[in-house]
Amino acid sequence: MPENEAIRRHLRNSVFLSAASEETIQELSARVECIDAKAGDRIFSKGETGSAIYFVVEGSMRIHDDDIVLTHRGAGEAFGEIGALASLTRTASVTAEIDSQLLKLDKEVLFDTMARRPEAAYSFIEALCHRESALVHDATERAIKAKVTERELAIAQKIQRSFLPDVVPNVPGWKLAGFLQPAREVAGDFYDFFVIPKLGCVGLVIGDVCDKGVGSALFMTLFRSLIRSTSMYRDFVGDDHHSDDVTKILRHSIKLTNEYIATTHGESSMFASVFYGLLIPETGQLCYINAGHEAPLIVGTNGIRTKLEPTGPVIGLFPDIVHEVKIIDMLPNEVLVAYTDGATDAKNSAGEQFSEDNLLALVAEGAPTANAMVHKIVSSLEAFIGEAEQYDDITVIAASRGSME
Amino acid sequence: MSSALRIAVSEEKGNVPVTILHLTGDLDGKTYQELEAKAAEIIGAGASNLLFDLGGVGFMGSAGMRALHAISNKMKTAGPNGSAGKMTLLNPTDAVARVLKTLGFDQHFSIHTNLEEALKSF
Repeated sequence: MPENEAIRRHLRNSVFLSAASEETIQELSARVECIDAKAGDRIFSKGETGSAIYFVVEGSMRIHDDDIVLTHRGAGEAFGEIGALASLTRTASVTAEIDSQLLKLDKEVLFDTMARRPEAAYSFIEALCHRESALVHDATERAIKAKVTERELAIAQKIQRSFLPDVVPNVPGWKLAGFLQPAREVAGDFYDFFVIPKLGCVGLVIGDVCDKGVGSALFMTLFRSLIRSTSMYRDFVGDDHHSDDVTKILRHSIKLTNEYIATTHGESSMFASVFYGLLIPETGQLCYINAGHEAPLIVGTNGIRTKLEPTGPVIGLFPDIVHEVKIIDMLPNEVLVAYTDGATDAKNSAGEQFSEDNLLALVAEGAPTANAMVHKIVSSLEAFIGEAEQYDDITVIAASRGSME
Repeated sequence: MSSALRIAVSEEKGNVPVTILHLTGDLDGKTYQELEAKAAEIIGAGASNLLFDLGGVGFMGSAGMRALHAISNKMKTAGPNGSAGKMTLLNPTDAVARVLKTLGFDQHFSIHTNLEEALKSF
């Protein structure tokens, strides 16, 4: 317990009383209450009615909102001034971090002193102005930092957009369309269309990297680039066995991408579900690997003909896995539709999911072209989501075969 | 709304000692770290045979899958003298089994529906 002289000295050193007279300090030192707080003691909680200001004589206080620490107050500092001076509830909670000694000055005593001693009131006002000025300074700094982060993210977003096809390849007799709406600035979803001229086939890729935000966005660029590069830059033995070569590319590309990420980045446990199809436009033959992705659909004039179920696990986690390649022929007037789970899991403001059933029903109605199909799904999703916050990336791609005139 | 994850731990002595983690709740982005931390603690204490009882898990998202993979990475050196440990999954609910199958995790992890069989597999 500090002696009266020690109490006087502590009050004298507080910024709140730096302009107060000796008489004021003397009077207050007799009217404060000494408090011994044990480590972990809660001095007051957010939302309570404030009734005192506290001066820290010794120890350390944590000013916090649940588990978010706002600041600390140590010896010579004060806290609780907002609740003591205004009829506001406590704006934060305060807990002793170690065994501490406090001086508690009750609101009534404080108001009584200030009413009789203008220099005491002036001293408090000046200290509050200093504090407010520091707060404004902090807020400005934070706003500047936020602006920088925002600008960085905008750049990242722009660069990431360049990882999506800027133009859709022109494939005679076919139409391709793609749509991607990130939930945040950057996305973990991706899609890709590319032509492999040597084989005369077209790559159709859709993928969903686990998680959201910057981490998955970085991996998205890796998955997309590895799939594209391992497909495009490979020598082919001959062109006698067209679909054999196509099958080889699919296996080669998915195997290399999987092994590279599973061995080089295995510790991150990041993975992607990917549907990768290679389409031979003249025949309508589609060779594909579905690595743990929601089954794409082939829809004709009589509704959904088939679902292209997974032919192996997601990629990026388990080295030494082999994905089966499957082949299906797309008929004239059929549309291939692939999507990520951001479409089926999209929520409206009531918290209801769009659902796979709804999506399947919509797709089953059919559409004349890839563009019309993507547009139909996207506008339906937008109407469903309404004002609700989009919480996952949404991607839809489609490829439609013409009527062979 | 997601429900919190609870993890109860028990020991079974079959051919070898097996540590069973009984999970109840959702294994998602909010809870997967609890599972990783608990598993790390158990592996750190010397356990090399882990059985994850998923019977009480109503939802498992990709974060849960990542946690299982991260734990399986740790298990690679969890056995005696840095040899590989073993982990097995038990009793996934229909919803979880569907996710495990779609993502192909059923090819990497052994999954049992019966405790006796699961214990014998170690």
